[in-house]
Amino acid sequence: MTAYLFLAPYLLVFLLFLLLPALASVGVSFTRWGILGTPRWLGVQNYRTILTDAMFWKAFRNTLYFTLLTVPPLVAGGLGLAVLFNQPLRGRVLARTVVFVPYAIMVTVVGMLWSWMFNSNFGFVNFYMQAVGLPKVAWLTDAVWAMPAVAISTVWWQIGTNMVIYLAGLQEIPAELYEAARVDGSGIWKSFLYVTVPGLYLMHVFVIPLSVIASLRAFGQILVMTHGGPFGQTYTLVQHLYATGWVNFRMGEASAVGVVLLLVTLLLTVVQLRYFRAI
Amino acid sequence: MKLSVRSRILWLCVLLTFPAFLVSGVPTRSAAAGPVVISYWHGLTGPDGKYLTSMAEQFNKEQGGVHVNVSVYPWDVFFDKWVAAAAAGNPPDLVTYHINEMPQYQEKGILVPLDDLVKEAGIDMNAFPAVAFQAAHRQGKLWGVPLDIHPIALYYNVALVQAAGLDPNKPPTNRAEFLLWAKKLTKPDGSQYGVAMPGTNVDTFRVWWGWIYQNGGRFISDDGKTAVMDNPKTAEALQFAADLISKYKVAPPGESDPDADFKSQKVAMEFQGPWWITGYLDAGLNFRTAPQPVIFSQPGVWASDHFFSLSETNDAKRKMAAITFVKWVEDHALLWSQAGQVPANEHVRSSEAYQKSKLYPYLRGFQAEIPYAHLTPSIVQSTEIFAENVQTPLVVNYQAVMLNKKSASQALKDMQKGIQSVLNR
Repeated sequence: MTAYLFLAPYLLVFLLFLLLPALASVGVSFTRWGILGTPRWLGVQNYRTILTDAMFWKAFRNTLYFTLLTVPPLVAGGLGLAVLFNQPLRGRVLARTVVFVPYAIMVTVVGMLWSWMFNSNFGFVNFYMQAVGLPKVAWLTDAVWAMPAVAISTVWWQIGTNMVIYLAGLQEIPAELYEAARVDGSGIWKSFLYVTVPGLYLMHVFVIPLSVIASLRAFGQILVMTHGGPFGQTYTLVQHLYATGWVNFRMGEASAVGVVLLLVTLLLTVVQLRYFRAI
Repeated sequence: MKLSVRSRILWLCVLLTFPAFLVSGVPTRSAAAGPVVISYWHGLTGPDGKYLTSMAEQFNKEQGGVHVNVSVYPWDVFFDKWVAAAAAGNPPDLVTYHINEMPQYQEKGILVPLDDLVKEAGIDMNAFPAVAFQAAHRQGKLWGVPLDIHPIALYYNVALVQAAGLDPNKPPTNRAEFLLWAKKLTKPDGSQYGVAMPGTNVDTFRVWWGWIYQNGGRFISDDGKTAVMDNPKTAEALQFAADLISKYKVAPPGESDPDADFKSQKVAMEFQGPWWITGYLDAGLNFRTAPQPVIFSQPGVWASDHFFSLSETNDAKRKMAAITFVKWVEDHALLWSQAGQVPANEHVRSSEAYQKSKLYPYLRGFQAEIPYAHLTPSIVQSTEIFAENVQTPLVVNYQAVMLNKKSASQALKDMQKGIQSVLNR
């Protein structure tokens, strides 16, 4: 009972502001509703509308592309940084902090920062690219480079959390295992592959699905940096949801987009957990 | 026994928390005698917004009958908050936004018809430009009082113009002069361009919009029901916009911030609204403004309009208080003009005080455009079609043309299809 009491503040907020609205939006997805007035029952009409909308599918493809661009560097990079900063190097505490600090920055600030850095006229990214003889790229307004640019900023922003989780995992791997591997003649690479990677099994089960979920839900940094442009090249599902619901006040269709995104997320998560034999 | 004590504590916690949620939504307005307190929301977060807020403060000081509380929300969240507040039964008494968005909220039933109120307050509706007057009406009733009208005009950098051997006293007025200026103001090494052409930022269709009307093209039918932009005249206007980048090479490709580029003197000309006047003056830029050159057969520019409307509060006293404040602002629109806005009120525009004001030399060029200004269409779907901060069929196809990824005619075909489906919903 005491346990529930301690959980109450969290559960109450969770129920009122997350679970109930989420359930309600499933209901709303079957209606026509513009915040004011009474919702009108539409059945599956909203789903038909959104699934035949070209912008929905563009957003859908973009979301998967963004996830593909961000998750591998987030996971592999996070792991790499964790292994690096687990070595007895000088200044590693400072280095860990430097990598982790971006995660504490507000998403709008992340967007603003990278907008400036990627700016085609006075941004420092182009300045250094030109300094080493590379051509100037209009990062955020280029049809091809806009999405990678947004992905780079996201990796910079998010990689710290994955590193911290992997670092914690590394402390759990017994040193004897590395010693045994060395005795059996394995080098650094083989030790990493056969001791470190499997030893972090529990961390992978946590880090990989969470990175995928975070990328599927990407919104703030993209909104600030490109507004989904140029011509829809960085337009993702959550932006589509936002525009449909909060710019056009079509709450039914927006909720339907949300439900579809939830189902996609659920499916991808189940697939991953099955792969890890976690469920 | 012990368990039940714990569960009592738990319930106590729950019960103590719940009323707090309930009470937080209830407005606290004192019923005691004193000024009628009204709330006023606007979305002008730039330097101009401060003028509006300080005008309310001045109003509050000058009289004791009405007290205006101002809240400022960025446009991104303004409408969400307003509609949510109306749904909760506690909307702001008075709001300022753009006139083309009025039908959407009138349709939702959250606006008050103003015909009787403006008469009572003594606001002369004939003092407003015909386009603004019309846009303020819907279904035979008046729903708003215009505050200003803001067409876009030509800004040019005097120092750069002189350096190029051009006469800043004779800004371009037609296509040939405009192209000549643009070419002479473009440096071959790419360090300076003649003009900024909105391409990928949130300003999209506005410059092109004027050219559509200059060329006798069309965009949406007069009844607001049919998308008609897929026609040769509209395409020609759009092609000219793209040509400035790819054919004449006088505008930077991939333009993402025309204002920043004009400010940093990377471009010598820009088409923009009057709201940048004070910003550029504060930045110490030596610039002037002029009416947009006529690129095609007749003058035509895009314009918008800030205006007042009242939310339905079912409180006659507060409605009257709100309109009293509107009347005061209209009478003091000279103050608003110094934020870099052309007053909608003719009485103010013809006053000597206004014509001798500090910003008048800059506002004059904008004002001259009023007779041939074309506002964003006032239709229920106006936001859905013309919002520039989301990826609408308009934004997506316009940007594709400016980035040379689609031909003008193909883009207009796609745009027409996309916008028609919005109109059909």
